[in-house]
Amino acid sequence: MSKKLVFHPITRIEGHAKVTLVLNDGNVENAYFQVTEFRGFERLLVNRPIEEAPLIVPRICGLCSPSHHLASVKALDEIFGLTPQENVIRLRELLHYAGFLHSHLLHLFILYLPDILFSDIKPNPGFIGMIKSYPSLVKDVLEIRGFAQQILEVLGGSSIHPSATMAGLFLNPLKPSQRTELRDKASKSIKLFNTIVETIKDKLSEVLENSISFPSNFVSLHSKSDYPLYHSDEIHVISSKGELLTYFQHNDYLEVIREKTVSWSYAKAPYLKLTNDGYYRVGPLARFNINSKFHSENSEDFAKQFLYNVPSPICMSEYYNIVRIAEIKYVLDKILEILSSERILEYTYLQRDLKPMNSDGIGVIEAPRGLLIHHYRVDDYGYIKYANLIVATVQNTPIIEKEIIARSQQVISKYGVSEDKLYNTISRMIRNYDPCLSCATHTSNIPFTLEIHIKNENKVLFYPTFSSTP
Amino acid sequence: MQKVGVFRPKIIGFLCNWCGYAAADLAGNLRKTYSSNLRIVRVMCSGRVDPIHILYAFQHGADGVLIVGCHLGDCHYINGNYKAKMKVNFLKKFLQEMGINPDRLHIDWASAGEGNRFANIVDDFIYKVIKLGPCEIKYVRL
Amino acid sequence: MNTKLTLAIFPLIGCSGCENALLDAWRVNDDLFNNFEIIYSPLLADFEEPDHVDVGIVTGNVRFHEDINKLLRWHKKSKVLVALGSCACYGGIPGLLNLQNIQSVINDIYSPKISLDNYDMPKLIENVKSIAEFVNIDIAIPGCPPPKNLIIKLFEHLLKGEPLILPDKSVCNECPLNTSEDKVIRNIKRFSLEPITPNKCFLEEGVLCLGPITRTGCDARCIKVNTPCRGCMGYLYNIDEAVVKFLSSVSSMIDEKSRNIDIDKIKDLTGLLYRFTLASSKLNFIKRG
Ligand code: SF4
Ligand code: SF4
Ligand code: SF4
Ligand code: FES
Repeated sequence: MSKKLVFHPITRIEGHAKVTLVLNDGNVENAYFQVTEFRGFERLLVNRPIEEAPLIVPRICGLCSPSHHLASVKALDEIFGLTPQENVIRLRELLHYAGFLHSHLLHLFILYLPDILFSDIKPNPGFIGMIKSYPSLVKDVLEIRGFAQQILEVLGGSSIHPSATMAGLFLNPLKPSQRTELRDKASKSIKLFNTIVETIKDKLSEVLENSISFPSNFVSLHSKSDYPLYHSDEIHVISSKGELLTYFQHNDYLEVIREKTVSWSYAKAPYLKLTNDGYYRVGPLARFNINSKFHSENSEDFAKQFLYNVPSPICMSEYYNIVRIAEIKYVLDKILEILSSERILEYTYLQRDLKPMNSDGIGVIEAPRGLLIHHYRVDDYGYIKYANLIVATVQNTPIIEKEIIARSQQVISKYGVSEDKLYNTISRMIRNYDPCLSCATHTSNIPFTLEIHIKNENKVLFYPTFSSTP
Repeated sequence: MQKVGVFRPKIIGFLCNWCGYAAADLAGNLRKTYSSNLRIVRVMCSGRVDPIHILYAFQHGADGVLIVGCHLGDCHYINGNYKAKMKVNFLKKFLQEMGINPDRLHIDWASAGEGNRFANIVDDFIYKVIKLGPCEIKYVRL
Repeated sequence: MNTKLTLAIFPLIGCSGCENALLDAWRVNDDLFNNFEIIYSPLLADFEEPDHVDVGIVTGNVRFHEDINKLLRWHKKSKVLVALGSCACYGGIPGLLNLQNIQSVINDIYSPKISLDNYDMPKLIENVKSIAEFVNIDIAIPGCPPPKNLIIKLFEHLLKGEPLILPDKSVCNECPLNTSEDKVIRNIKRFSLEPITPNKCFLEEGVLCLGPITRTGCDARCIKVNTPCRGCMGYLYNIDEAVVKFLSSVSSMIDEKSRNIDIDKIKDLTGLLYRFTLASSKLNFIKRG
């Protein structure tokens, strides 16, 4: 007898989704992580002028809009054959780091932390409960978020959907007074964040004790000299055992990463071409496993306490949040570093006549939730003919589905089929990944041919052989 | 069975008071015959024609819109016809994006004395519209 | 004593930027925000949907059949219904997809043989719609994302129980860039691909800027970072009227004697003029492929 359990909606994640579990005699046969959203950005970009893309794509996601903006600008640099000046890059980085701060703080403290703080209150009051029970914590968090917001507003006009930079350019250079003001706030925010982390440290360690390992491959940008969030176009793929499976330059991404569609969701499912099971994780955990060094004092200290003592690569999704904290420390350090030097002010707003030099432009960047690829193809006049966006959350969905199966199996063997327990475990597990579903639902322009999952009886076989032509 | 009738396009003509309209008058006086599908709206100057008028016409069932003004340089309000020309250029692009064939919009010039020229402009345009068939956009919403 | 006004944030299909903007504006233990209590928001808490709420804030646009029912239900439940963000007010950027045939978009991705029905996926409606097409909105706060000071103003007005009237001035009114007396366009340029004189009005430099028809309220925040306005706050007039007014005034500003005018450079007027508002246009666009 097979039975379907539907959990709808999954709350405190960005966007709309539900989970369908297929049970058979107390065994979890299958799980679908269904994204019930549809936005179609890849299609609506077609025929738009390329210089408008950085103004349109931020609207894919209100939480990581700076990342989308910058990924598309990187692609534009390629199309117009430009290498931006050093200071342009620094200003872009500043924008990117501020975006990280804004997004990570939201996820950790507003969406995720209530899981720990209110684990036995039903229904979980989330942020609203935090305002009531932990007002000073919330105030501090909102203050650092306010700092991130201020950087984004100063540089990009708006904290959400900034429009600061264009092919080869940064449109709005920093003024000296702004630099000193932001610099002072940066050092304050670092201190404030350190105290916040102290207060929640014990709670975090508790959660880590119960973490469950779930092996997978990992994919992220790699760099020897820095923790690569903006720089670096080299992508590494490692296995769950830590071997380097392959590495490639960003413009070869289609050789390694493919996307296919599944019939139960409006989001696509990417996979690695080279391995048997194509699942992989992206995001903070993947970044840490691949780069394993933060190049920043503050986060190194933190990592020593929480990360370096765990065998690498870390395969427990609970650790996503730990790496996130280390990353917040990292970006705060970096923001201070950039703002401390006056070099950032030496900047001329250089304008040139630009003509598309290459028909294709690919921009990769590490967004808060993981590897983000923007790929545009333009005609001779610079109008978009084709756009392909591979965003972080989509890459995580197949592995999320797998992990749902594993975890719900454990819950069922321990407590029987308890919907409450299942919902709690599943939604918490999903929240570790910080999925962002409005990002996930973009559609492809060029159809990918594929064989669809074969359904026999109530069994859906996952990912049989298929062909895919980009 | 569908009845196949003769397609009689609806054409709206915006004629400037000083030249286009006068030319139409003259064409009448000369007993010059031109197609009767043209419905004339007299405006003071071709520059007075707002893109909204043209869009309104198309959205309400016109198959073509013709604007006739004074020859370039002869506008009685100095440069109204230049502006009309630029508006038409922009609007043609916009019509194309909406899915309406831009050839359905035409701007031309005829002085008060050119009755024949006016009749030819109208006949040519109507011939063109007949070849294009009924307007791509049919139902009315605005 | 509990006299707090209850607040529910109802999300339709959007990017969560509006909720995020609301959070950015939210201050803890503040005289203003202390008067409100959020009782429903899937993003922020696990609470069940309430039966009644003082203020219902809807974000996002209508994309699925089920969204319509949700919207009607929420409308009934809320004493005051607020549309927050351009997606809710006008359809937003996803409205640009209305230029394309949704069935062909779907067919491109999904083989016609399989149907999403088997998995209880919500069904798409043909066109993206703004929520104003289905319910009466009491207060509309446009913007993508809505500007922080407007959100704060919204709460002030909710508290006082007064209607919020948006400023009826254009973005040009707040624009810090210099304009000249004669207002002539001598050249048509594409933004960021051709050099322009700094600190001069974009439109006069030949870069199409929607400032003249766009309602202000955003402090001209894009222009302050040297980006032309794209009209996210919605227009001062009826949408289609505003768009043609813009076309008509731009064509009148063009210097007819200039040799540099090449309007063929602009191949995408719709995507520019209806960037955030296509879903609310009353014009009849023929769908492509
Ligand atoms: S209006 Fe803008 S910020 Fe708000 S949901 Fe829509 S796209 Fe996002
Ligand atoms: S058109 Fe644009 S740049 Fe010019 S004044 Fe208006 S808002 Fe400013
Ligand atoms: S300047 Fe224009 S596009 Fe920018 S926020 Fe204001 S209304 Fe929106
Ligand atoms: S008066 Fe005839 S075109 Fe202006």
